[in-house]
Amino acid sequence: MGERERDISISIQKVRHVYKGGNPAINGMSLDIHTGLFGMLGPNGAGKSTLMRIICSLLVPTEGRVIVGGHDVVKERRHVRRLLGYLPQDFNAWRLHRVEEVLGTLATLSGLENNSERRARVAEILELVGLLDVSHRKVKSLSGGMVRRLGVAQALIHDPKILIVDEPTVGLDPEERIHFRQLMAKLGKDRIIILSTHIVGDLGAGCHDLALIDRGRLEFRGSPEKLIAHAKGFVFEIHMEGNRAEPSDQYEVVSQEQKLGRTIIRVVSRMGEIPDGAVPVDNPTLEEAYLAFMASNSVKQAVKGGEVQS
Amino acid sequence: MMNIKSILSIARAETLVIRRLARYWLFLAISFLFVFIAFIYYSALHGLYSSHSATVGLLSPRFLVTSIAGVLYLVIYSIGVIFLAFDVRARDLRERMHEVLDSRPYSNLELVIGRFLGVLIPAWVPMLFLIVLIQLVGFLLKTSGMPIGEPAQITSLLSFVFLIGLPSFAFIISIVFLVTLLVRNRLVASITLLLLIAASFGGMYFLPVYKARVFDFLGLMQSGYPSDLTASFMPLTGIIHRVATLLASLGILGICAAVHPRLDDGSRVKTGFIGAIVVAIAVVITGGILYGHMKEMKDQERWLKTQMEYHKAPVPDITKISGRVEISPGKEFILDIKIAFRVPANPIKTALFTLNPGQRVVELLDSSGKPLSYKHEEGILDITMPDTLTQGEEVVIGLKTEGVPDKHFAYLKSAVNPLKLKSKDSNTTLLGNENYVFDRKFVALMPAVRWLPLSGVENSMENQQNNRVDFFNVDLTVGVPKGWLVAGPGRRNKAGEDKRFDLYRFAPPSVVPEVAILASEYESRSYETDGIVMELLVNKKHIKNLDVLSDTKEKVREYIDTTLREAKEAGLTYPYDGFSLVEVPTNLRTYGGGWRLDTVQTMPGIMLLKELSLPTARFDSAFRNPDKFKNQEGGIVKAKWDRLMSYFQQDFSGGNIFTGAARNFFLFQTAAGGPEGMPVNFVMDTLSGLVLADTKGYFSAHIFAEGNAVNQIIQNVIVSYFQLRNAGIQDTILSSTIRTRTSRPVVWEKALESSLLDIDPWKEPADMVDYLILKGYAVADSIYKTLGREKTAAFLASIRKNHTGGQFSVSDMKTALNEQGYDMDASLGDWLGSTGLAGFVVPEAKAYRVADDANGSPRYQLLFTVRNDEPVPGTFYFAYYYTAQNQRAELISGETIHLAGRHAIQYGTIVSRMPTMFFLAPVLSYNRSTFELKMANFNPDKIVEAEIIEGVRDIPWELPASASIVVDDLDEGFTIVNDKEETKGLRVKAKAKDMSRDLDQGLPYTSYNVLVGGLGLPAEWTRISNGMTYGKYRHTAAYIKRGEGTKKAVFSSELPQSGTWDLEIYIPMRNVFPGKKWGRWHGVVIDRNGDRHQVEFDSKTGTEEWNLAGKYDFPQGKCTLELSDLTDGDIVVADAIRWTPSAGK
Ligand SMILES: Nc1ncnc2c1ncn2[C@@H]1O[C@H](COP(=O)(O)OP(=O)(O)O)[C@@H](O)[C@H]1O
Ligand SMILES: [Mg+2]
Repeated sequence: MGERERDISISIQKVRHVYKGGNPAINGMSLDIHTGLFGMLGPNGAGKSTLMRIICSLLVPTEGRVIVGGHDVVKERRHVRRLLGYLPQDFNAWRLHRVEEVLGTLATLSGLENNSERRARVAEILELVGLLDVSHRKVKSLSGGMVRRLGVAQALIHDPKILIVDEPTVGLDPEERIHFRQLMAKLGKDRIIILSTHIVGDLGAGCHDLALIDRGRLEFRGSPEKLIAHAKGFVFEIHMEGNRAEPSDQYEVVSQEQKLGRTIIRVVSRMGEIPDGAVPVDNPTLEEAYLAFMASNSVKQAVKGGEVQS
Repeated sequence: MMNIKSILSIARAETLVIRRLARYWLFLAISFLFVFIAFIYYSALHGLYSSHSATVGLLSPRFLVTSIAGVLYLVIYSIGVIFLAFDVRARDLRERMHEVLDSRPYSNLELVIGRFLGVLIPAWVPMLFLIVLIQLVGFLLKTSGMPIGEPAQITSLLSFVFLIGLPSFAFIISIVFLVTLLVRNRLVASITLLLLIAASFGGMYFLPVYKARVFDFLGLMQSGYPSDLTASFMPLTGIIHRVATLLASLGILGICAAVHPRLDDGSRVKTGFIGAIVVAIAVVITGGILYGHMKEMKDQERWLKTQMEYHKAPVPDITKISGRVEISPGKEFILDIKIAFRVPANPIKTALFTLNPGQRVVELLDSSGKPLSYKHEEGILDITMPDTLTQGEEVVIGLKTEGVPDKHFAYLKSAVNPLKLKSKDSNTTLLGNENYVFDRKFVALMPAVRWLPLSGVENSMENQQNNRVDFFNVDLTVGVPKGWLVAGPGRRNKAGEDKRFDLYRFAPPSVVPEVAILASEYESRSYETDGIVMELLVNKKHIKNLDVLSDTKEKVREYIDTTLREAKEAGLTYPYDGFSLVEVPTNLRTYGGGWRLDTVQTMPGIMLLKELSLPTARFDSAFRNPDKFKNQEGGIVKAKWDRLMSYFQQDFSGGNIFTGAARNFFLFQTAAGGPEGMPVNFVMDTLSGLVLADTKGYFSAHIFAEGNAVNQIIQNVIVSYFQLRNAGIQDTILSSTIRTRTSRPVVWEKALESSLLDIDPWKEPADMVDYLILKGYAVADSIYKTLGREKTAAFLASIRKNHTGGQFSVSDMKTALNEQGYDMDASLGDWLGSTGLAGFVVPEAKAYRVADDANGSPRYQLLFTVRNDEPVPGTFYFAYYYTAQNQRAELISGETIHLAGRHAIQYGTIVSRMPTMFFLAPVLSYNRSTFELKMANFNPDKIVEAEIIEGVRDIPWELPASASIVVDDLDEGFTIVNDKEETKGLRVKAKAKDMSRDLDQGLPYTSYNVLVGGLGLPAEWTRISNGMTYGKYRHTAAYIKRGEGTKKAVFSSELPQSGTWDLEIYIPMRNVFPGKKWGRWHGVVIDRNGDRHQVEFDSKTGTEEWNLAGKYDFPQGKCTLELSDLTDGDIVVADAIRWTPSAGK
């Protein structure tokens, strides 16, 4: 087919999606995604899952086009589906199947038709996600984390060129998260991975490109560094007496630290103004940058809304 | 293109889930269990009882795989499949698997088909296990010598699994898929599906067969009856139906793919359209089957109409048919014959025959070889003769036909059309549905399809006036494939062979009314006696019973030889040179047409043996233990012989060989024509059965078209078997069946309503058959009991001698009877043309001891007075019931007595042992059944010095004068009222409606008198027939269990004058209702003015006779007694009441 050789890409063109009887979940979005781990950040309800379903050809966009590896997701679903592995947000598997059976079935359905190849691949992938020991167990006896890993395994079983994982770290313990981040970083070297999350930390070091989505709109596109650069001037440190931070509507607390009977809090300004007694931070983290961005964004939205209303 | 790997992978995943569902195993276990229980039940029934009656053999599990395993497994499992298949999409959603599945590269069609296979395979594969299990268990049971169990018929197993099971499951699963895709709610979906299945079962059950077949998605009605004799797996229409069902399910799967919510690349419209087209094709094919059936019926109607149009045309009298018949089984049938006929009374220009429309006339020549002009349309062969033929002229024509007879051209007018029966009533399948068979492995050319021309049109098409049988001689050479054997009218003579055929010639020395030919690769057993070849032809797989019964060979031959010799001596020589008993597949229709539906298992020189009777009955299991018979009189040989005799006598499915073979001696030689034909022939046929085999049979195909009546007979066989063993009452299953069937009140109603000549037999043909049997048997009994065997034989012989090949009349019959000393008019009255019967009353029955005999043994005088109060003569005999310790009970019949109308006799006899009960058994009278006599008190020690009275003595006939007014429960003045009309549920009402046929003069009745004590008492007034109750001719009473006083028996009468009247109530013998407590009864007497008088009556202390219940001053006019069901005992009996003017105060 040739897709494997070519550098593969996903092109999202002016996509709008409106669920029946709802507000637009995707409201005019264009985006090109290339090889590498692509982070899709956004709060709950932003439209991340919707966009991913559209990319996976499970949902027909109300408007616009999505091209995956050169194939239209509406007209050439079979081609698109061959290219990708998808881990849905709320993945689970047939309760009565054994782990290896689920993988075996899904592998066949993804085109791994040769029996011995498939068996080898199933074993390999189980090893990779650390489920080899439980391969004979029925799905209903797995823990939440194991099911997640099974989800990852099924998405990877046919070594897809595109991997779409929707909030994959939900339910994983910290150790698993680390492991998962490493895996994504490794896999992202020669394929497209779209990873949606509302937890910035999950993106990890492997992520060099990300998008920020809010209320169905693309609010930011670029590297993490760029996002951090944007946040400079919005993140502050406040030193307070006592051990309690007073809540304030001026800022949002990101972290807090006790030092010698004093409390140091890092905050993200809501209004872009410097709160009383605050010291600007020159090295905000990605998470702080995200929060800062979202905070300012929501203000903008509110202002815009006000303008429209008046 | 579809990806098989994906499909299989989806299927495998689905199967995995299903196999791990508890409900799967539950349904499997239930269906296996039920099949297993059913098999055990039927195997036990068949294994243990099939050697007792040929009718029981009809339930052979060996041939009932579809009916037993099929119904149970498929019905249970098809409901199970709903609960396995309704979840396929729902489960993915619930287990949140749908997105990863949906995002994989396969099409919806692949998905649906995969899922379909995934459900189908675990549903269907167990069937393979099931049949292997059935075979294995059957094989083990059989080889280990167990009395029950045997492997099933193999082709029926295969058709069960592949033709019935596979399409059934495919269809249900696809429907379940479709419904669950359209109706997402699982509960709603499963209810919808259950309703659909229920509707289709309902359709199958209540619709006529030809329509029901269309709804029969399970294929249970498609298979016909399996057979070892024929090659066919399933009738062609059955196979087509199954293919159509499979096709429909594939089409539905296409539609499922189209409406599946998952997005794929395929065009929904296109897939759906193709699916719909495939479904449409399946519907058209199924519709074609329906259309085919409707066409069959249309054809038959048209043919019948044509037959009727010709029924007045002059009929040539065929004298001889000779020539050649070539049978290429399953392929071609060639008839090349010469027909010699005589011209009937009127000169004719055309000769009219009935000939099957499937046979093409290719040559029709006159005697000089010149072609004749003819028309062969709608089964009528109308030949135009070159010259007008005059009366008595003999003509020979040559006829050659090619082509296989149309199988629907038979029994055109028939009370039962198996296609039109509701399938719940279609037990006629057990008697066969194929009018004739022309299979690759088996051929049965039945006369009814008219493969041989019939002179004129079918008999009794329009009315009985036309009754006519054409007897003729035959000389036919039959060509059958090499190695085949053929049975025909008489002896099979080898007549050489040619390239393709073995040739056999049939040229019996006497006339035949019809010709049947049966051919197959039979196994033959034969011997010759007095120039007659007796042959048994059975399928090669069915010789086991021949081995089991081989030691009765001598007895069988002796019986046959003696019967033939005695018949010959009596002038009733067996008319042909051979007789064959020939096995036929169950599917061959063995009952005839008309309203009578008589058996067609007997034909000239041939008796058909159903595959499910002797060939497959379990005689082996009955006699597997020879030691058991060692100490029995006559040993095992006699036991086997007796069993064989009763086996055929108790064949209620038309295969009674005794009555069947007897027909050759008389009815196949001459017959009565005209309106009296049917009843007279019936009587003559009965008499030949009595003369030749001392037996009467019972066959009414109607009971096979009446719900579960057959099962009842089969149960009777089994129940009677035990009762006979225990009770010692010398009654056979045969006679109790005859009695039970013919004494039904509806039959009596018919008998009392119109005479045999006046009745419209088509109105209720089933009851009419029993009416014919009731009256015909009574007439035959009266003749046979009076004349005895020899004289009856002589009577038959004299008619046969004078009328062989022609008809005889009722007056011929009377003359011949007179010669033997039987005056039919004096003994029977006008039994054909009137409904009048004798009515017997026994005013006195007494017994006393007389002087001992020379040896000092006691002697008892029995003395009876019998009055016949009707103007019609009648016949009866007394019967005495003896019980003694350590001895079998016995019922001994006395001599037969004729009693002229309005005459009375006294009858005396001397016995050495006192019977315990006395009965009067009328041959036919208003008394209906045998009734017990009430003897006067008897003192065994007192010797009465009196003249001994023996024999019949006429005494003056006189009705006893009485001023009393009696109201009996059978009188018009007797009614039932119910103060509290209950509102009954629909079901009860429907049931009541169903039972209205089974009322005895307006009341429900108890048919099992013996069981009255055992059964609970009825909650409605019910009639019981018992000699110990009051009655003029019929001794009956109405009775009811204790109630609230709302259900009342009302006796009304007219008082002729005012004055004081005594009211008496009759208490029957209390032991008619054994074990019941008798208490106070309550009644109200209402006079003409409406004045009410309470009546209190103590039934416990009263005598078993008339008892005074009160004295009343009444005005002249109407007066009623209402007897309510209120009592402090168990029972209230309304038998009879009597008003008598008070003698004085
Ligand atoms: N099946 C659906 N039908 C209707 N509205 C939906 C459906 N799925 C999501 N939405 C709505 O669309 C919006 C975007 O949801 P989603 O794509 O799930 O966001 P995210 O994945 O970013 O949390 C939300 O407002 C959500 O309520
Ligand atoms: Mg989401």
